[in-house]
Amino acid sequence: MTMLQFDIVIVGNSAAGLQAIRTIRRHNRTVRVALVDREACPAYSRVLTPYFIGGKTPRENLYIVDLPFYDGMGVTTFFGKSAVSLDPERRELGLSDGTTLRFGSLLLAMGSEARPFKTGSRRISTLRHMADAEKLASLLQPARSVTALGAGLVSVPVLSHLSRDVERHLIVASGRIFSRLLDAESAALLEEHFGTAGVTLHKHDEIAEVREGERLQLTLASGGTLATDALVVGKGVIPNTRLAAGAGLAVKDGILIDARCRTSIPNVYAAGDAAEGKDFVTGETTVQGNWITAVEQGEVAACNMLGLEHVYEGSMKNNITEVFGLEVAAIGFCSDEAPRSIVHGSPAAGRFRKVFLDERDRVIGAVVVGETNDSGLYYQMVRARLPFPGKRALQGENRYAGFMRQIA
Amino acid sequence: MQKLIRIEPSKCIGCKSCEMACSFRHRGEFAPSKSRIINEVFMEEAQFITVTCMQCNEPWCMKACPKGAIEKDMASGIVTVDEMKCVGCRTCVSACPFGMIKYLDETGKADKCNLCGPDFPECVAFCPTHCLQYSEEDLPLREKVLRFARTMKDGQGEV
Amino acid sequence: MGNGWHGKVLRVNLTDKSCTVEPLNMEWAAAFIGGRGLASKYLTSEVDATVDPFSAENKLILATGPLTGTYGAANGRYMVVTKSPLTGTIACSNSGGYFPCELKYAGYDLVIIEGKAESPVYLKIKNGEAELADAGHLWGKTTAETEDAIRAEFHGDAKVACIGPAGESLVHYACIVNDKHRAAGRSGVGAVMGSKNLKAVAVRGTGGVATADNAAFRAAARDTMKMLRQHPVTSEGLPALGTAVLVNIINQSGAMPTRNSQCGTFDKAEDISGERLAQTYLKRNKGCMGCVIACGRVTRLADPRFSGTGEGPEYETLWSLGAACGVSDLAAIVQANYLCDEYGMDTITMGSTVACAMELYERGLLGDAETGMPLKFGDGDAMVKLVEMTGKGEGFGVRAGLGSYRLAESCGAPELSMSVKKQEFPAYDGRAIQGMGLEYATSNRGACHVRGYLVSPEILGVPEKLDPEAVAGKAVWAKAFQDVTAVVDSAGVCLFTTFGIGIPQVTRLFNAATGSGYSDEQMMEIGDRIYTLERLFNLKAGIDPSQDTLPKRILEEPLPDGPMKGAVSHLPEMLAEYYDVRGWEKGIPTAEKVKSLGLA
Repeated sequence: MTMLQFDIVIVGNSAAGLQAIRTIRRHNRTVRVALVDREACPAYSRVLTPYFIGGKTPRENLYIVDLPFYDGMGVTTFFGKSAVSLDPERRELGLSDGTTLRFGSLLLAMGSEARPFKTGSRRISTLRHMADAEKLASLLQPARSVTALGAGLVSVPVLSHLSRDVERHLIVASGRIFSRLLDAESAALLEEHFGTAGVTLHKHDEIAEVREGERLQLTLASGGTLATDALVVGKGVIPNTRLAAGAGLAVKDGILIDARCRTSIPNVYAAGDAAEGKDFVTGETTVQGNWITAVEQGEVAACNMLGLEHVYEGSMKNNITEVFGLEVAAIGFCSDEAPRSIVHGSPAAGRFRKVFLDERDRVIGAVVVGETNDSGLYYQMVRARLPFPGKRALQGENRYAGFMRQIA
Repeated sequence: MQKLIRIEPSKCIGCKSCEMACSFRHRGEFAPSKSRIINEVFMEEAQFITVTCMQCNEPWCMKACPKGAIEKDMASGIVTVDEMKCVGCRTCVSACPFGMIKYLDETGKADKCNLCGPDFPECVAFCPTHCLQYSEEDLPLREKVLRFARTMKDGQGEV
Repeated sequence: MGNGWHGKVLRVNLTDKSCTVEPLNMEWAAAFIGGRGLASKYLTSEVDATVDPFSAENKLILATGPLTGTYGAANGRYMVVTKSPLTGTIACSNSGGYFPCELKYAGYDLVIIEGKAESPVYLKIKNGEAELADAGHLWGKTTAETEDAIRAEFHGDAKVACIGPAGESLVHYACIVNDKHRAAGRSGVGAVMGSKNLKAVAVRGTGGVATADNAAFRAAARDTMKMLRQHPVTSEGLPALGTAVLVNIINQSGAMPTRNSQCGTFDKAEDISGERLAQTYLKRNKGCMGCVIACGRVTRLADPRFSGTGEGPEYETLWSLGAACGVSDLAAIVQANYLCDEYGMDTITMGSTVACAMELYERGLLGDAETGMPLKFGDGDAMVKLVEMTGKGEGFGVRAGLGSYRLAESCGAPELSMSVKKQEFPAYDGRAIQGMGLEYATSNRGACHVRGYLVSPEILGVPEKLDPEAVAGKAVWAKAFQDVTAVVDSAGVCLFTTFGIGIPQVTRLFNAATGSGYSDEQMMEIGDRIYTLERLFNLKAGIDPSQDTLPKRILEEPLPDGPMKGAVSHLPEMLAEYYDVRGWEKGIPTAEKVKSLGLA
């Protein structure tokens, strides 16, 4: 049995883990760092997998870094090995090959898993890992009809990258798409766009039964049937918390963290999709599950592991994507529960902006549809808790100059 | 010291020559909507504001890029998008608080000012009033941006 | 296509509400360049010269040039071409700002508007998409209100060209205002738009303009900008004080038409000078798109009576609403200038009409019963009041809205209108500057200074100094200036650049942009072709050579004051020479001439 000693051990080789490595090395060249990931390859981007599946980018381009990167960063990698046990008292992490890593600090950034679908079939896949992406890519290539279950940021982009002459179905259990992401009005607007894009939407529906055949035969809860060549399942994700829970860390949906990304146990930190930290707007803990949050938390955790005081103000929704040729960005708190909202534009005009305000008329969120090149400004408005800057700010494409004018 | 495009708003005449020059050089056509530098005219206030990428020390866009396609050159300080790597996912767009990196339809990639490196910035070359200059860091403008950032941090809201 | 032109025409039929895109006639583009020339070719080919300007048969053409939207020589201009309700001639009014380039970036060389809408509409253009939208809620709004409303409902970055209430009520010199403060000003092009029930054209263009040879174009543009930055007029005079720099210069030359041209100097010129404007209301200088000169003046008015922000006044406006009316109240002039922008009226004709009304009033040809108020030279408040009444179409303003000629004629004294072909002349006395007199008489849209600006050689000495009193040789200069101007107006370049650059630079930019290989001589021939084409249209419209004349006052009444005291215009001598130089027989282009220009 091998026992190795490191100052910092990071589990998870994605957004949070990578940013932690970069942050550590920006401040410190000497601490010994180990990186563990169950996949045996350099970091790749989950944001980009739908682009690969849709043939928009080659597989090689999914990689964010190459193997020499880790050498250059002075990081010892344990790829292809899972972390199977954690003893916080002795500061030991056990790996699937029997290796034990002793750590000064530990960062749990092992992400989440796609919520699985009950029936197994080779023509059904979720999308989370590189293997899923490869499977879906080969599955969708020849498909004449593709069905997606669940309308979120995994399944919709996958459908969106398919060619228009593929028959596309979207099955949603709730009454609307993007229910976790958008308010009802914005969602309705997108639903209309889905219709024009030729997607058949099945709302308030579920898959009751799947039968194999020449094509996949789906029986819907509503009674209808669908013959399809592939089923993409996007019913949300489950944070990887088993290791943490087993070790006695406080866990809700994700591993609970404070503003310094510390878990309930000293010297153990968590970040990214596995972690549940404070939401910037609501103040409640949440698993934000987006790339930028993972990066920010990875950086905060790294600083604090190095003893550099760094406090995170909270995570925020910040998603931007293109659905069937229409750009959409959802930033901060974009829910019907916002005290007030202001709408500008219309889908007919090709641009739509909805800004959500709190009781004091400060910007807490925004949905930007059509032209999204100004979405970063909304992100910062929320971060700055700016009062609503006036309708004029919603009219143009890039209103940063307007802010500069206010400062000048 | 890093060289940057310095902007002296009082000299601006709102002619958008900078936008024309930028798009002509980088896109091969005169198309201000594709320019990386932005010149806005606020007639009511009699103010003309020009903004471009500040080549941040810790670029938001670079940090946000899920592909590592954005890099900051340590010698020149220039922040560039590697178009070979960029997939066009727009995550950088939603991360830049200044709206200074954008998604270009025709390339399907992120696009931002690179100070025309290694050449002299074209917008500065074509600015008729020397409102734009290329020289070492412009402290006043940097300070304004910092103040902007601080205001955000303070959460005071009132800019 | 990547050569300056897009090769696309947007045709909008207001009667059947259709918007169609058709290919640009490239043969015509080669022969007439674009802008003024090309639009004139389309208009003269499609519209019978005898139509009523306010009828559905008249067309309104918005035309960019191949250089519009590029840099180098202030290439931010467009031309509005139609048949004028004020003069009955072909009208072509030029404007800058941002709208012209936006139209080009949307992908069109020309927009041809035809027919007549049943109810108010406005045209929305977003790149390849064009549609007509209801404008009922915009009717009656000022130009600034209209632009704000359209930006809010259409696109925040849209550029808007629109008419104000004056265009709606067919004020004969209503203009089309774009970017709130820039105007295709003269000859009533806004009234034609109003007659068609078209309130505005709003454009969002996110495309580009390509050139045939980028490296050659860039080099040509750099050289051109360098020349403009070195010439004293374009690098010092105009940037320092805008066109208002001319107030003192022209007044000192004795060529400032004062109190309806009753004299040639204004004793209070200092009070309305560019220098005074700079000390008082000027906020900053402003350029149009791609400009290197920035003659525009952003002003803010602070006066017990008035307040506001806008652009200008320009020299012509300082003169028309000032010296022409004997008004030295600068605040009143600035306010009236703002009102003209808001209501959408040409400041030159407006001021000249007020001046004419003042003379009619002082001579007793108009009474209080008609005007509703005393109208005396020098009364700034009365001037502002009449401008407002005209814009609103109230009381005596309705008659003023027909222009000075129709007003004076209705009072039995048409000779008191300081106009040619019913269009008022601008701020230079044809007695003090002989060449300008010839230019007014022969301009194809009635009296005008921007069809052949002989003030440049005769007063400013650019490109060389001519004696303003001399008569011989002025015809040659007039033709040359008129032809150069026609080329510049067609290319999409600002006329003001011609102080610092000439046809060789325009040709170089044009060739690099379009991939053509024209010589300077060929370009000048195009100018001649355009000028003659306009002339042929006017002749068909019934404007015969007898109208190539000047008001009796300019021909017969010697200037009573100033350095040019005693001067009258020697038009007849110059005119005969001019016809010769043009190859026109008694004012009518000869068959050979028409043929040699390819206009047969």
